[in-house]
Amino acid sequence: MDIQLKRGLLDVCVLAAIKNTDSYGYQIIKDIKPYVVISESTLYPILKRLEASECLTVKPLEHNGRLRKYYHITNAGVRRIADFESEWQEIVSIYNFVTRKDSNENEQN
Amino acid sequence: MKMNKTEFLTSVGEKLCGLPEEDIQKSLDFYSEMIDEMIEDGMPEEDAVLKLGLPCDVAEQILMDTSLPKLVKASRKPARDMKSAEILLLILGFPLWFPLLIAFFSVLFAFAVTVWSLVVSLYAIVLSFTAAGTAFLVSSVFLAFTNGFATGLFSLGSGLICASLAVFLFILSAKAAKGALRLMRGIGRRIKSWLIGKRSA
Repeated sequence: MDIQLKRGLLDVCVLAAIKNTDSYGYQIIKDIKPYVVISESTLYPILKRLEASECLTVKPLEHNGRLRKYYHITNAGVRRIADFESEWQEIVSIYNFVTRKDSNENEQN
Repeated sequence: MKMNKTEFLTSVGEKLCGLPEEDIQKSLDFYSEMIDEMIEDGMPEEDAVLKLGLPCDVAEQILMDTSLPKLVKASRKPARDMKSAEILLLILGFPLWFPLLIAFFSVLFAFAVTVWSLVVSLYAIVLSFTAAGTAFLVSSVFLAFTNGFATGLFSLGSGLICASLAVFLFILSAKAAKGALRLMRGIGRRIKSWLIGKRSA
């Protein structure tokens, strides 16, 4: 997959993982893994980037005698997911167009 | 090679040296938390470390994601104390390396300015064709009445040519702008990996 595209997709995936409830790094990876390949070292820059663009905030909470960082989605993050959804509509319609053309050709054959 | 958590974190930390202390700590905290989580999940410590990859790869990824100015600043700081002979050489060589350094960055800067000027000039051409096209089209109506039908028709034709050129060049300009942006990003990445390569050398 195109690197730039995958980067954008992963950003939204991470936001989606914390959309309903705050989550922490390891849990985010576990949640996303069934859908996209993501490793610990890929997640870190994404979280950093999302924090820098104020799409999420970080809150360390104590867990088993150590700190665990919980990530909380902000309004900007929610908007980012909404943007993705509307952009994706365009891509889906292009995809439909491309595949429809294929099926027409099949019918002619 | 099997490593425990402390060895792994120390190794990554050493490779990040020169970056702001706060940034290093944040990165190490993240990886430390990850290892703790995996251990809590029932994985042996050494396996958890192994799963994160080699310290040099982890460090490289962090560095690649650091902004260019921060990276340049980090690379400027020597990892060890310099010997007095090296300092002397640096001072004596100042008349040589300083102008070279300035020249290097000036060339880079000039290159960037040139590329962007080309893009801007393309858009300027588009604008002028649009203006000329509009003027021709509007004047064709008046010319047809004042200077005769042929002159009006000529003006109309010229206007259409200008308009089509403007459209064509606009598409070209948009492509050029995109290309320039990609070129600049590519150069930025190239400089980053060069700096990172120099660090690990």
